[in-house]
Amino acid sequence: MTAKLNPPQPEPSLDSLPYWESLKAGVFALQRCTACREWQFPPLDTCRHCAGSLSLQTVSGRGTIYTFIINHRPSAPGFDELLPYPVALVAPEEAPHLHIPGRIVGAANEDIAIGRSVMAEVVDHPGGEWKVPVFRIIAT
Amino acid sequence: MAANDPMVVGIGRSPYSRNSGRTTASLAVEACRSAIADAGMDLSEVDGIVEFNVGDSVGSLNVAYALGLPGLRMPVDIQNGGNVVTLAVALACMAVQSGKCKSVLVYRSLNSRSGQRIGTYTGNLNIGGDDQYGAPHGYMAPGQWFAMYCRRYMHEFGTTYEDLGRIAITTRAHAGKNEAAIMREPITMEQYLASRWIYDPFRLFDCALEADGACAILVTSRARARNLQQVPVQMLDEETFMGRHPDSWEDMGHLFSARAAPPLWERTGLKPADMDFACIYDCFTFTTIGVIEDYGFCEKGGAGEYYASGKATYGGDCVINPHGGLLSEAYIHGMNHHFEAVLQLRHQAGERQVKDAKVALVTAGTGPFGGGLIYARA
Repeated sequence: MTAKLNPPQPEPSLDSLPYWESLKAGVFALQRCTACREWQFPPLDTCRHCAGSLSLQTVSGRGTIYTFIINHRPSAPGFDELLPYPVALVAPEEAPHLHIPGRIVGAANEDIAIGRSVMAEVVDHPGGEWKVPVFRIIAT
Repeated sequence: MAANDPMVVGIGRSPYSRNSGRTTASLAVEACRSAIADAGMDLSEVDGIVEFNVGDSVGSLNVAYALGLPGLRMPVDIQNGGNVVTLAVALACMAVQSGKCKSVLVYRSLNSRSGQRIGTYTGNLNIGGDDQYGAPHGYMAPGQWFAMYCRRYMHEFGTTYEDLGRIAITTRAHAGKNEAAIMREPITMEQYLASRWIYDPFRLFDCALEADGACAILVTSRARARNLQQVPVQMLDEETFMGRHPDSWEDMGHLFSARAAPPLWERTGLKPADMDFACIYDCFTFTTIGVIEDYGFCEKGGAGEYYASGKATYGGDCVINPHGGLLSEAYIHGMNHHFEAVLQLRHQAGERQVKDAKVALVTAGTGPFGGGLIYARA
């Protein structure tokens, strides 16, 4: 395997396409119910709490690290040069019961801890047209 | 006691290996034939098969055909992993209890080492469905999901790397007395801590031993079991709870087992202290910790001490995974736990026999999805 591989590309469904299109425009937004005001992730067609209609709402990008791992073994193409790399599940401040997966960037692995505050950044995703949210540790 | 109580009357398996050189169909047929022969039943009495797979195995109808059956009254193929093992067994038992079927095989067959291996790839990938959000971050393997749970659990309950190591060490020690286990050499805490990182907090010895093989059990009614050749083992009750993708589970300090355990104990009137041994689904060391704590074998955060003080082994409270589990016997996706439970309850486990074993808990799954059942020597 000598050719450099790209990281996996998302393959959106009709329900998740607006989320990915929003990221592509540089905006990190999550679904919120227009009726009961509950936040949802991952995207669905209708609200799982009240069956109401959903709209994408821009979020602050601030959140906390709910949990994280340090990947030492390649488990997807395109990450060999980043090993060992951290991935976290981030609880957004607007909806702390949700868990958004994303890489932590700009921090030494030893400095990553549960409960630390992070800010989302929408960055180009190599190998295609999509963008993804990554998270940077910020002062609380 | 009823004539239609569901009983496991036969167990069978193929050899477990790292490279079977055989198809999953060949492995499944060997395990099923072996279970039928073990029971002393005529093949023609089998009218149902339940199996589960993740797109990596042979279906029930192909196995029925290869066994020489004209067809089945109940072919069930569950598209899911080790979280549905006890549910698969429960479906077989329900079919027998209701009279839908006379005798039902449950099998799992996979080449999880030499064939379709978790977390491997050969080229670029496009990922839809549940993993479209994590995969672009290099996050899509079950070991990664449950390492996330483990980290959170360590944060909430003070579980340590050494606690994880104690599970690996004890489980390996048990495998030393199991000739079917792939890994039988004892390991020390030093070796555990020196083993390479996979997904921190998981090291190599925290992860299930991916393997090739098949395992099967045969279920029939108490009435039919009377004239078969083995001591029957009754499936007393089963409880499953399944949530969706692991990332969506809100409280990673409590696994499926926090929901599946209470109804099982309540309905059966049994408690952890009544279990002579337990076969806990141990895809990772952490799974054993979270699950035995949720089932109440010890307090939350207490599993490390439970193992350290010898309560999880011979001479303790409850021998956990006497066969060496998925960590050291083989990753036959939890079906091998049922083989071991029945063998122990029939008092046929040789030098690793748990003395006077009468009742056992067997679990399946981790994170947001799994189940547990109780077997009793009839």
